[in-house]
Amino acid sequence: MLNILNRLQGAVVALGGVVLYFFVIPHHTEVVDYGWVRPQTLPAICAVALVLFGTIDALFLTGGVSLPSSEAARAALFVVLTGGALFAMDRLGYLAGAFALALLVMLTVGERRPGWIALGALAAPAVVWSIAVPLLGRTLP
Amino acid sequence: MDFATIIAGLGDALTPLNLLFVVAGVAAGQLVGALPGIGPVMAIAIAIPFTFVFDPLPAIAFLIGVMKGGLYGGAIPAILVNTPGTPDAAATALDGHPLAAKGKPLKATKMALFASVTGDTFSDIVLITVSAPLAVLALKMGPVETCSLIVLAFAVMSGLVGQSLTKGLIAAVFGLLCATVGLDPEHGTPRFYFGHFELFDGLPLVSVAIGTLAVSEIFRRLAGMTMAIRAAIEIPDTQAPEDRRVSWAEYWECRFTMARGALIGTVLGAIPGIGSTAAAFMSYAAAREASKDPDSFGKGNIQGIAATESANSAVMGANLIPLLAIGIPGSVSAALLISAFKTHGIQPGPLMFEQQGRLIYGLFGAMIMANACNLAVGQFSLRFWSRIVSAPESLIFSVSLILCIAGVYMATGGMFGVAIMLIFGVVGYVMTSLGYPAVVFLIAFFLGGQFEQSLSQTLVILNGDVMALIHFPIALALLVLSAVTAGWLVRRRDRRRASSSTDETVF
Repeated sequence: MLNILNRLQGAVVALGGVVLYFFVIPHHTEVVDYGWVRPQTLPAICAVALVLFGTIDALFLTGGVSLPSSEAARAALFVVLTGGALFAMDRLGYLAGAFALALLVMLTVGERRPGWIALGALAAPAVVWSIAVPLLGRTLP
Repeated sequence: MDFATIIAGLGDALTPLNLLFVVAGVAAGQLVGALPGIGPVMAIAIAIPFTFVFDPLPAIAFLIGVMKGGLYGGAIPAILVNTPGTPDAAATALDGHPLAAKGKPLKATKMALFASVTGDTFSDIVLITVSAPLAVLALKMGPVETCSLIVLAFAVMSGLVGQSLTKGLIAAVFGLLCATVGLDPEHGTPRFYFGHFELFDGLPLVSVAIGTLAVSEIFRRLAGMTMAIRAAIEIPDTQAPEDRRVSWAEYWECRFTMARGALIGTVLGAIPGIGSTAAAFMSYAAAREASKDPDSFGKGNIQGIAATESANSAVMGANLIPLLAIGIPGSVSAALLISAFKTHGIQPGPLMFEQQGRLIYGLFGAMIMANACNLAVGQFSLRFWSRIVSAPESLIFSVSLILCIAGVYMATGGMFGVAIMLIFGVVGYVMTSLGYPAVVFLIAFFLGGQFEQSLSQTLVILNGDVMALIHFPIALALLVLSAVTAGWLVRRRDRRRASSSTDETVF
């Protein structure tokens, strides 16, 4: 299974290089017809290198992969939580988003002790905000 | 550089304010080093945005303190609970934890502290004496040589950091690709900005660094968490006095081991891409080889702790040699320091000695102060750090996450930078899981802009004729060295693979 995943990721890298070369680079860089290193030169070299190395990786299986599906799913959950918290911060401010994020993260990993939850979800965001805004004079959302 | 600049620079460093920043940095470094999972690299990444409001010297002094404190701090959980706080402390656990289990945790941690400070001081002395002459040499190099040097740095790093050369190369190429986002250096036209004008300046360095290093690791640790609290061992109150300290005789007995470790760490640290973990294990193996009683290693031999800690700490100062002399970071920590330098309007590299000589010697002064502070803070706060080891991970990682968000927001001035950080947190997680060295990606990203610019200048100088390289012998030698290095790495990998398959057959 891991070997298949290892081959697959090599193929994805190679395919990414192809997409980059034929679709992304032409549409997202300017065409300039003078100079040795043009805007497309280095990205095009990178794209060709990705195709080459991705193909080698897919064919000859170098290195290992470690991506347990349950752990990856949990990691995805934390990414979604963080994304949601960033959205909340943008709308409601840093403190509200940080309180919510810290609380949800602590509850999700199984923390149930009120003292630690209060420290992590209430005190810590308040301390970070106090250091950043009044003390250092910087802004937070 | 005149003597007055050196004295003025050292004088700038030795002020109560800088001392305060160094002490705070060392304490913060030891604290985060003592927390398994949060190493000094993550701590520096998080701390950088908070230092923007300070003057350059106190800010850099604080970050240097974090780096030095973190290297020793990583040894504390390695010794006390056999859970290295940093990867380079893994070798310290080999003898440190057995010694702690014998009822001598204070002796083990103090030996780690003394060896760490000894190795670090040695490498700082080498840095101070070697970097200025190297910078003078580097100033004689033009764009052609700089371009070749970056090619050499890529060749060395890609092979050494990852398990696989191909994956190392893919990571380096991906880093280069990410560095092409924004205005191109030759024509000034925008690339890959996808309608987001914030990307005209390229991907924010702080967002990419914190996302790839810190946020991805936080996601990994949170996802792999099975229990909310770690078990720590208690330091017994009724230890015999000789078990609570390291005597001068014991320290002196380890002098050759520490000298060897410091030398190994300094040599390996000066080569870009070789981390302190390799230095620690190499020094451990050398100490075991040289010992009259090799069987005692792994069972609580104090020489084992001295070997590993002197080597991994010596890497830190030596890592700054390529950074200050030629502007190429020797490690991720050094690369992060580059972003701190740039934020304060300082361009790292050989010109620093000419244009910012006073600041450089201020930095050296801060490093010497940090060594003394590391010793003092480590001596007095050991019991406190041992309690920190038992702080629940649920608290540590949730707080780290909100610190990353606040830090990146302050550094980039908006939620766009924070969103980029989240994206690179996912990228870092996926890369690490699939065996791509995130460190290589990051260093390639740091060097990418400089590489494209020097490549462009090189081709203009050579008028596109590669054969004209013959007029640039240093550049040519560096390119040959790059090819030889890459070839040697492939052969070494093949040999290792062959020997590991033989081992599997035997067992």
